[in-house]
Amino acid sequence: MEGIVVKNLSRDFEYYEKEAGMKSSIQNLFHRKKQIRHAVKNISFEVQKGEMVGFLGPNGAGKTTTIKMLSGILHPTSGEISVNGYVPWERKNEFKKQFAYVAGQKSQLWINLPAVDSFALNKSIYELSDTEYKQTLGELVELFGVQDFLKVQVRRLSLGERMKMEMIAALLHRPKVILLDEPTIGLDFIAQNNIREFLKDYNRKNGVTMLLTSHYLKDIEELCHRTIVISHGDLVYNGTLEHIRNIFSKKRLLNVRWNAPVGREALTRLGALKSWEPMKAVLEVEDADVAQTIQRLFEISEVGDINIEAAPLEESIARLYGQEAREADSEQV
Amino acid sequence: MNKYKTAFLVGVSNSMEFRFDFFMNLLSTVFPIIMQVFIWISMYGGNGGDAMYGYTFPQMILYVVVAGAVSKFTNTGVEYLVNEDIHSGGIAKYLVRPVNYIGFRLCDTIGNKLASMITMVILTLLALLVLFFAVDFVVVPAAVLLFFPSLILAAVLNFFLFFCLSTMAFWLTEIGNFFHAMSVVIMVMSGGVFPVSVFGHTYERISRFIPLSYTINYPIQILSGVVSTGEAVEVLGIQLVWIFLLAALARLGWHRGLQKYVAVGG
Amino acid sequence: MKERWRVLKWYLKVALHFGKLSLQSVMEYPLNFASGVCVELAYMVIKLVYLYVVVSTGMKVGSLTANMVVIFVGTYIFMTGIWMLLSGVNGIPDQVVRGDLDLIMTKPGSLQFLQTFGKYNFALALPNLAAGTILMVVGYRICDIPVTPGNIAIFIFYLLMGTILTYSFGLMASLLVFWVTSLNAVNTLYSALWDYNNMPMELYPKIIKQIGTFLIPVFLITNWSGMAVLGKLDVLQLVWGIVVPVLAFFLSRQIWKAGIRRYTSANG
Repeated sequence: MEGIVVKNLSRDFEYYEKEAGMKSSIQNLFHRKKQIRHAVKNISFEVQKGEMVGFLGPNGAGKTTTIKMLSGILHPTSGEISVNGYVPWERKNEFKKQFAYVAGQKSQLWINLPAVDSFALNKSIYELSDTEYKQTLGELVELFGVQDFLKVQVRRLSLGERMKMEMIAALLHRPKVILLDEPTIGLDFIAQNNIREFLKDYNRKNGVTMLLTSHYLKDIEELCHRTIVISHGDLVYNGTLEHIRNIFSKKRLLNVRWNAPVGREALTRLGALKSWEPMKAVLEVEDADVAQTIQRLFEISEVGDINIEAAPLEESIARLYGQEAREADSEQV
Repeated sequence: MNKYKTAFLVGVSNSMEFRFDFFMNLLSTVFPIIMQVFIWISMYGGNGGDAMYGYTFPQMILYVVVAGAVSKFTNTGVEYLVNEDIHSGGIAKYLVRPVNYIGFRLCDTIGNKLASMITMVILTLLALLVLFFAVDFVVVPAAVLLFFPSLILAAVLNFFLFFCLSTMAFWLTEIGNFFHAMSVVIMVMSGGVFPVSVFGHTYERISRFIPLSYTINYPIQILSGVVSTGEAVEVLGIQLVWIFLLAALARLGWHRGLQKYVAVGG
Repeated sequence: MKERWRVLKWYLKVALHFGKLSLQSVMEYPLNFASGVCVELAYMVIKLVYLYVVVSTGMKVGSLTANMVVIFVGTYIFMTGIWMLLSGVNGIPDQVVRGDLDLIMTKPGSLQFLQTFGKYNFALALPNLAAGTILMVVGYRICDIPVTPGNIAIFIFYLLMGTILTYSFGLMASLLVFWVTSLNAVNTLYSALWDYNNMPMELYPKIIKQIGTFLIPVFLITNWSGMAVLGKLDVLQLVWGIVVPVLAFFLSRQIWKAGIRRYTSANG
């Protein structure tokens, strides 16, 4: 059974608290108050073979915790996971040979050596044949365009170059499932774009299953057919981004420019005026009213230019996050 | 004054933070001492009980017992903190505050040392008790009274010694390992493992004119009565002189270093 | 059988590869290497000061002459080198705190193997291994122990047992990180115990000898090679010197598994 199935997955963490000051230091010598945080609360979802799914959520929402459970690094408190038919935390060799875990803030490369040395190490570990290794490495290096950096000490590479090398190291054994945790974090715009392009290509060419977390909306927007939004440990949405737009926002923004000045008062009757200058304005209206409003705008004065936008997706998603935010996510024991 | 008090209290609180550490530290102070004691029991046993290296058997035992604790107490580790502050850019936050960095570090260090201070006092008293009942060894009350101030001075002296060394971090990167090696060599040369006299007369004579042995060797000699009360007072005086000299040097090094730091912009 | 052979070959190949990369890394930064060597030389000064006191006074340590003590101090310095070499073992606490086991966990093969043989610190190890070897050879010669294949084999065999113990104990000490918040004190304590081997166990009274042999068998690490070739061990002790390393290895393996269970259930 290929693909990922997650059922009623939960994960709690224990931690201790210490109040400020000497008194509590002494108290802590003898007794500490145990606290429990519910990092992931009873979430279920599926990812089909070859599908590319995005995991979206604010910091501390439980994205990383979930990815770690899928990779077998963390044991869940309760619930089930199947990745290509394997239970990740049993960490069977056959399982480990068919998936890859890439985390934006973790490195498997030997920092004082050129990346190609670390690649060769992975060749030994994954028991790749010379021809397999050469072919895969060649393909990956070309896709990323990093031929010139292979022999440069990893510590001397830019963050973007380094991340590309991390990806190559993780993909040398041709995994069927790739779990990516914030792969573009801290990278500049161009490097982010490069990584995105690569992932898109790679997914299309090889038909691998990919699950990626990010708090950059752009990553998810460009890469994923489907998005899972999690907030405070709860799965709050599972579907396309387009659909989020639809459920949250039937509003449209009209950007209008006139050839002659238009007064403010004339516009306030048409909808919510978001911004106004004598020669241009932004109006927010219900999508059903768009046609009618445009007509009215033309009646007011001669329109030079007009364009229609959906309300920004960020706002809708922020509302999704907000839905669960009110619930307390910590309790005492 | 209050901010220095806070630095001290935070140091104390930190050192209590990990209860496990506290007991482990106690044990790891005691273990090497036990080994040392056996070496000397064996040595003096083979020797027929005569004085060796200028120490009678109980004096030697007292020396190694107290030295183990004293070297832990006077070793402040300030060089690592200063090194980190310099190289991670952490000093910037002290520069913008109305705090004297050296004074701040001194108070923080002494606060952090409180736990090992307690360990040391207990160990010293225990050693004195055991030696009293086992071999009728008595220390002069004046010696005990002079020992503790000389110990505090030793810690302060050691602080400034290592602070001077640590200002080198302004000019050299990757100096952590060097500090490590230096602190070990300095500890041995100060008499932290064996009395200085074990290393021969020549070094013993030299050691009078360098600050090292005033951090471990001489304070313990005061306690064990190897030096007379008059000489003991002299030792305290020399300690003070070294503290002033090294404090001045630390200040100089620090300001020179800062000038370079500010000029280069970290 | 064929499968076993393949797995064994994998272990060897990967271990060698790790060694090669560690060596290459060191060669990129010769200054770091030099400063690491300096640190170990500084510590060696302490170890040698003990030897100096014994040799310069010509004292007897239990039934051992000052010359014989050279062998034991040599073995102790050599084993310290082995301990320092295993930075994959000694680095566990830091890596656990930083969450660096994560990526290694996703690699095929034994996690314990990949972690504990994944990195070597040649800078800290080499001065100790070299000085230790020299002292062992010198001590062996000045004690006039017959240089027979049998004696050499026995000596090396117990060195090997000592190495297994060094690995197992070091691993157990490092693994405490899973149960204890700060490992600094544990390390200091383990070092303090380790340093008991600076002098041959003959130095200590019977009670300590027995504790160090049976309860916390640290004496087995550095004493058995020398004691065996000097003919100072009876059959029971010789067997004990084999049983303990084997037991310690399996125990450390169990603790490793428990630690990893904790990592996968506690680490955020």
